[in-house]
Amino acid sequence: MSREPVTTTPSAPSQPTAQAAELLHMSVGPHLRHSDTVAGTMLSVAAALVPALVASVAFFGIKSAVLVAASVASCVLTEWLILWLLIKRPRAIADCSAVATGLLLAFTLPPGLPVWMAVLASVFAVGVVKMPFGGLGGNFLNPAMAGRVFLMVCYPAALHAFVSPASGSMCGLPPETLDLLAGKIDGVAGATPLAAFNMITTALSSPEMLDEQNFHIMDFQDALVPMFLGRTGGCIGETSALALIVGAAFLWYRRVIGFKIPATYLTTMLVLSWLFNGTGSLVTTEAFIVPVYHILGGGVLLGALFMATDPVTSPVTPFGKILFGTGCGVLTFLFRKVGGHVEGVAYAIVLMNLTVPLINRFTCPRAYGTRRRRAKGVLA
Amino acid sequence: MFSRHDFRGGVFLPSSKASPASLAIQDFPAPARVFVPFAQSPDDSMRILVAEGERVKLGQMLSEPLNGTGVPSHAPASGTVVSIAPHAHPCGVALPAAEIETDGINDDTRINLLSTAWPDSPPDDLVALVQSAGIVGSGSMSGSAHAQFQRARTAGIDTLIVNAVECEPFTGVDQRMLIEHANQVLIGAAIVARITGAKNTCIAVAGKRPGVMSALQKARTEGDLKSVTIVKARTRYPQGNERVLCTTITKREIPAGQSIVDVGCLIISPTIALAVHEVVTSGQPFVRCVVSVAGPGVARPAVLRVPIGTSIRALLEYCQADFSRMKKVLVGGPLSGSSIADLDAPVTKTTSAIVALTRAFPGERSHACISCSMCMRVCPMHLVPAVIAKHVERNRIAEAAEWNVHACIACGCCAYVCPSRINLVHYMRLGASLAPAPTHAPSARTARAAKPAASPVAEPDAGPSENAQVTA
Repeated sequence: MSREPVTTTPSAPSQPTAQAAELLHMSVGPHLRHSDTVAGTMLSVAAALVPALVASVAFFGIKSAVLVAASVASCVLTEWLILWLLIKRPRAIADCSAVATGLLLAFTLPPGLPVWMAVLASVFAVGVVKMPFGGLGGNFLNPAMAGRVFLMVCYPAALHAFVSPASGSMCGLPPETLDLLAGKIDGVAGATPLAAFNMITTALSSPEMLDEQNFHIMDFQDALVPMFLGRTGGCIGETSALALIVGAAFLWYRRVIGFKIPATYLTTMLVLSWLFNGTGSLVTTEAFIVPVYHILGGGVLLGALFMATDPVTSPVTPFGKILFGTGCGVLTFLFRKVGGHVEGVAYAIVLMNLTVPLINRFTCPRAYGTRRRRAKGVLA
Repeated sequence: MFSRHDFRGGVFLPSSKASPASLAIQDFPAPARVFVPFAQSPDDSMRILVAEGERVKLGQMLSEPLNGTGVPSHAPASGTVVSIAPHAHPCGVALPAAEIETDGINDDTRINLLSTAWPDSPPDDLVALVQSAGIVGSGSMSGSAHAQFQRARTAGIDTLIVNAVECEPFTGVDQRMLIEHANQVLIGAAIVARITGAKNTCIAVAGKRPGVMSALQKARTEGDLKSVTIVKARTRYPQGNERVLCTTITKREIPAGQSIVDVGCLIISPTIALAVHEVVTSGQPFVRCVVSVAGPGVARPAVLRVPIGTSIRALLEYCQADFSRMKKVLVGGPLSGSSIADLDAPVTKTTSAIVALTRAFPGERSHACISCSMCMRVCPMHLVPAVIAKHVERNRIAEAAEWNVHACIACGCCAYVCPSRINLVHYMRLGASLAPAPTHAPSARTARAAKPAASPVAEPDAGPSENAQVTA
């Protein structure tokens, strides 16, 4: 039995019998397969994004649905054209990965973005980042994140033109707080929660900007509930934390995503923004509100739950996942705190994507019965 | 992090509703013709002791081995040797076999080599007896029993494990054997413990099979075999693999390239224990084995005590298999078993399960690897199958060896879970066969684990069939 050849061409039996009519399949094991497929995985991702999509349409109206549809359609079309004309394997479109890419890309765009920009980003994501490197499984950057970064670099103004939700205010602050701030800090009323937060904390650090101490970070807690539900300005997919968490829970249940990357990403963000909360204290209520604001504002949840967990562009090893999540958290925080951009998630994830081969190589687990050896080759 | 009798990796397989473990063992009458292979594998050499036209008794020796690790073959029924010619064998290559036309008289010859009762017999006599009975292990514990015992005795082992962990659907012979013959299995294990000098004996059973536990407890109390410990292991595949089970129970890791004996353990199956008991107490050689026939292609699953040499077709017919719907027939479980091309191949000494499938995996297209890391998560050897498969696919064999392709036990967990349907086991085995076997010095951790074993002296007789890495 031990000499059974791997290629399965059995020698003909010496005595062919008359009744040996049935043709039996021969193959190496296993002869049983789990029901999970790539297409199923990708459709699970798409299904998990539906709650956030519904929330987005409810808050921003039909224009976000139009943007999502345009993005998905152009991703699928681009991928199909490349598969058909260049790779000559059009049936590979059936893995549904283009649908997931299109959805994720649209979720990172503000609802008021011109449709042609979304199409441009989709073509860039699929046609430049994904397919030239081998299509699904071969891309070294998350296509959706790369598409957003492309737009951020080319059309920064358009990406910061946010739309106020149909109900609730842009930054989630109640009208009386906004009245208080009116005329003191320019543009707060029209900023997203994270941008408003940045403006106000900057203002607070120079007391002459605000006469009296009649505004505190404490007042921001009024914004937390709208931010959690999604009644604030922001990108299509990132405003409703609740919808994202529901979708991610489904993916976790389906074992499409693990908990290591989101947990380390979010924990790093929480700890860093608590340590460097800017209020000068670590134990006041304000010091604990700041981290929550960082998590709920901007794209951290979307990034941690759906972008950083993309299997293709995240490490495969358990310890590598922890390193990756931590790195994303540190970079996001740095970009937000030190960098000129309000938002840092896309840059952080794209940068960490580039480190994945290295992380895999140095965190390869010790095989059973062997010594730990440093792998010489980069992960293929 | 892990419960006491567990391991990292593995998969929970769907359990079949009618497991063979719930079916009583029936005697399958010797068919009109049996084809008894002389050898266990294509590289065995043997001297044939019978001639065409000769009448043989049940249990009469048909061939004797020419090398120390080989085993003799015996007639499973009385009758006339019609021909001696190569015949289909489950391994895929036609091997020389004796075709016996049975006459149903079944007058038998018995082996009797012991002058005293077994607890007083010298271990060497017991080993000779086991060899003359022709007992052979199956699955990851393959190889002739006496050579394993001899090797264990020379190396000095402290733990003997009876492996009744079956996690694959459509299998369950070992558990059934414990339910019906717990007492004999325990005595057989005690004989093996005497041969090998093992101080601890334990029986590993899968978690959820109530009849097994009660039968074992009863036999342990009645047979005054209190020293045997019963270990409940989690029903997660491949818990029953030799390396996995050894580490689960003893926490010793078997260094790559070495066998389980080198860490002071020996694992036997209930089949071996029962066969040892049979030859020691009644002198009957290993001529019948218990086989489960199950699977979606079989209308009436059964557990049968079958004379070796019975064709697999006869068993499938007995179990009312639907030959028109059948796509694949396996010897062994759906994950670790191998498919056979010819249903005229006989039941051999290593057959314990026959599974008829109505669906042929693969046959599906495979997709690109999406690095989901599921294969790595389930690998009980802690390999990264996706990476190794990519190296082998691109003919980078040295890199595959560097990623420890040799540690693969071909359990099939990786390919089972792969959402891209990549034939990972194929690439792993291809890589292992192309790459030169590495020479490993034991690591600090494995050397510590191997401490209980006395000086691991290599037994010259122990051929490559002893290597636990070679799995069927």
